[in-house]
Amino acid sequence: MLAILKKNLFFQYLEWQFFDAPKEIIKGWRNFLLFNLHYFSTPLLIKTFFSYWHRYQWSYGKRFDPKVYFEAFFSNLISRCIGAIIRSFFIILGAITEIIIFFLGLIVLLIWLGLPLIIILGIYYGSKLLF
Amino acid sequence: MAANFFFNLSKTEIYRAVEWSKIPLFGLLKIFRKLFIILFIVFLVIFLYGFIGQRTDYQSQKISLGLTILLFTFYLIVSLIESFFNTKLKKPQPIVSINEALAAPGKFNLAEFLSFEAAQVVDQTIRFCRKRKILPVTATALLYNLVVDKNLNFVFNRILLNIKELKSFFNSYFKSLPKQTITENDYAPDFQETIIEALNLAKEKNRPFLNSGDLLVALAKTDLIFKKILIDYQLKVDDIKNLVRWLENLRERIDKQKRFWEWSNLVKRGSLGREWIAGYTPTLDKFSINITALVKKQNFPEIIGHQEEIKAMERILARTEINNVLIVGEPGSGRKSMVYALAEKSVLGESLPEINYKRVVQLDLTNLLAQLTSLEEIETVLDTIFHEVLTAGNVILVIDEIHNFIGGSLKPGTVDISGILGSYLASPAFPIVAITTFEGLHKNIEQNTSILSLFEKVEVAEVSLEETLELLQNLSLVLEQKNKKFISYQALRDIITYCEKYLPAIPFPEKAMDLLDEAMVYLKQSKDKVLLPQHIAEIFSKKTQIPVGEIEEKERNILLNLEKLIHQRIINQEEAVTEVATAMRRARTKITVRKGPMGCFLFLGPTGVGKTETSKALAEIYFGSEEKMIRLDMSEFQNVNDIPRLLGAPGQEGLLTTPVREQPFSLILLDELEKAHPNILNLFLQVLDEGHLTDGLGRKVDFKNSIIIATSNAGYQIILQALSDPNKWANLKKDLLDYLFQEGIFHPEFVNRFDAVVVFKPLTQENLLAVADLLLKKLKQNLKEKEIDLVITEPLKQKIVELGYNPVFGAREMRRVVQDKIENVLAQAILTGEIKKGCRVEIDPNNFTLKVI
Repeated sequence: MLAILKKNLFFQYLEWQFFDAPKEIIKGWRNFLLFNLHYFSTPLLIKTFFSYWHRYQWSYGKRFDPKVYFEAFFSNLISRCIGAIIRSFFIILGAITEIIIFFLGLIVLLIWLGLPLIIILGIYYGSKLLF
Repeated sequence: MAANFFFNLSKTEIYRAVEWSKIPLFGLLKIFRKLFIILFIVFLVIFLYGFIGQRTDYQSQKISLGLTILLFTFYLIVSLIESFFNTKLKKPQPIVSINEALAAPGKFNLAEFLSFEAAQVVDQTIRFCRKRKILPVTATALLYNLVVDKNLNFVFNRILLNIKELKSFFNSYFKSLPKQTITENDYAPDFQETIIEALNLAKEKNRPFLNSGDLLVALAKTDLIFKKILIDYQLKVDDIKNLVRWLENLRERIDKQKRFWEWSNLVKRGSLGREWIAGYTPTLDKFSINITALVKKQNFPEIIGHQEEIKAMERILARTEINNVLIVGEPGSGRKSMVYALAEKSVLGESLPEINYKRVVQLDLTNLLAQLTSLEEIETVLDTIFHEVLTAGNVILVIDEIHNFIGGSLKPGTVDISGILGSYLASPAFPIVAITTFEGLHKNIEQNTSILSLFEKVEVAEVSLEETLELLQNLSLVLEQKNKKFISYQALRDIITYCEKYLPAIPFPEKAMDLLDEAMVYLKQSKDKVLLPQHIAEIFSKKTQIPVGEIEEKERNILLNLEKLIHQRIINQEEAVTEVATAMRRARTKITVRKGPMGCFLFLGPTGVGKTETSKALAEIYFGSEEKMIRLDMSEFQNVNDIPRLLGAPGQEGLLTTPVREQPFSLILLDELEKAHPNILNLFLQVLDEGHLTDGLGRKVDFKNSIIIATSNAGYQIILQALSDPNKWANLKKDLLDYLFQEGIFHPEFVNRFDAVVVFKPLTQENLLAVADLLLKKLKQNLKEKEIDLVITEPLKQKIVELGYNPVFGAREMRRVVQDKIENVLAQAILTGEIKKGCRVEIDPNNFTLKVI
């Protein structure tokens, strides 16, 4: 039975339109979503959110000297803050594009699934407008 | 065969796609798709133009909108059909694997395993045979349809096959076949064999289908007509296999590039923000080459060869301790390309987590040394650079030719960095890839054990011939585009053959790639459009002085008249000359495939009978000049300690191995062989037997293109005795060899490895007169250039023989007599002005005075 269905052109088309091709679209969609995270290095930026900006750091010195200590403390704090600000900017940007890609992917998938209907409607309304 | 062969194309799933493709309208789908989208845009613009400004009436807007929607819908329909056809109908899933089908070819319909293109060709073939009434379907008909199909035109064009000529040949061939429509089997045995063979090829490649390329390779094995064509074009089955692989690789790469949504394509775009967690490296950036950036710029070239070595390098770099790699290999073996491969894998995140997304940066020491003068300054900058690498945390530092900068005897323009480097190497945050040669390793780096202990070695062998061919194929596409020329497959194949055979001292792939590059420049000069094997042979012969390619007229004459040409310099010694000449002819025409050298001869006989002279004559006539002779006086190798001098050692070139590696196509003369140490003679056992030897640096030296001539005057007394006793003459060679074996001068197993043992006979009075004549004629020739005519008289020749001949030294003294008694007199006379241009002179044999006639 399955073999007969497999050989039937109409069933083959249905399989392709609603199973094979959506599978491929979902795969591509997933790749884009993952790539977006990779492109903006989002997981890495979150992991290193408070790290020094380009590893710029100041030494506290071997002996405790309040002046040197506070100088180093504030410099390091600034380095970390700069890092965090720039990172947060990119994390947000990454998140926005991730959302856009998510919805774009969803739209593409829905359009694909609704394509037969779109075609039917297109012929119907197109002809209706013409004639 | 028939019971074991079930093949029915019309009962397969792929047949539906083939049928669809035959509908004429179906072929126009692509055009329709483009047409619909263009018209859609046009009507959309018209609609918007009318709608936005309300420039047109309602009815016109309705019509234009209706057309816009319909055209877009048609576009969608056509795209959908095309897509469904290409991704679904053309690629049905087989029910069983090829393996299972091949195990029982009578049980499964083998046509199920045809790819769409292959099914199209087979369908065309079946229809062609039916139409022409030449059933059963043969392999030759399949070949004809493959040629007509154009799908494999890339292969046919690369082998310079004249398709037009071939088609007309096939046409007349098929016309000559008897018309037959009813047969016991639908498919001839050769067709069945072709399908089975093609299935086996697809199985080897782990593909679920066989494609038209597999059919072509299978036909090269099974079809007699194709075999004959291949012979005519000097091609083998492997060549067709290589070409099909080239085509498949290209198609695969293009297909992969088109699938933009795949991870491997997306990841090439890189990432932002990764570098923010790494430190700045301003000084390093100033004195370095960013290999990672180069790889990106080159759009990630394909990694070919050295896969195992690259993996080893990655493993070492990922370690927590001693994560420094020392790449050891010959220059030109692709050591640098391994670093490029590492950078590529790192950018794409295809390596180990410790390496992924790191920057591969090559320290430009030469630039650094050129810009800085004082040693302190250099050391300070280097220290800063290394410190930056350490703190950056994302750099893999590459130092090329590191042996130039570590220990040993430093050359001008180099500096010893081992001190500064050593203090950083131990740190796991300082991964380094250093590149060196075997010689550099032994000579410089091994002297500094503390540095060496911080590195892990990765030895690089040269890439295989198949990989070199792939590299050449990729390069040729670039060169073709750049130079607007076409490169034939035969040219690429010959490049590899010649390089492998005649340039063993340089490793693959660089020598082959350089030769291709050079050949393209040569082609540009010649204004020919296609790079042919002849061009490669010409350029290779010019470059190396080795005659390759088709035997040319000049060389043919030399080979055919070799005896005569040698006899212009050698008197008598018929046997020796014939032996040598026949060996040369055998070697050049490739009649025999032999393991050992091209020829190896042992010349025995007293001194001054022409042993060395024969070798010299051969070197000059065949190899182009006496310079092509590698002459070793074996009396210099009387101790075992002399072996390193012969075979080379670290820091020392081998007197035998180095010239042979550099000039494999040469004549090796081992003079006075009997004087060498027996252990040294044993070394030659392998050379004579296998045709190769391992030198002092562990490199294989190939003797397959050399001629080895060993001379010895051991046992010359036996020859002299034989002279006085004619009875002994017949068994001279046997007596001589018995003597050599008895005395332990040579062992029988050693002598037996020579192609021929040739006994040079002492020269007779007649021969000596001829030698004297030869010497005087040479002198006469020289004088002729100065327009002085020397008259050679019989008494003069006799006098030279009388003075010059010595039973022990042979004719060797004669040359000195000519020099002392005649040349000196003539030189003096020229200087004093006694003889002038246009003079005719004669030498008085009694007192060697000059007579101007």
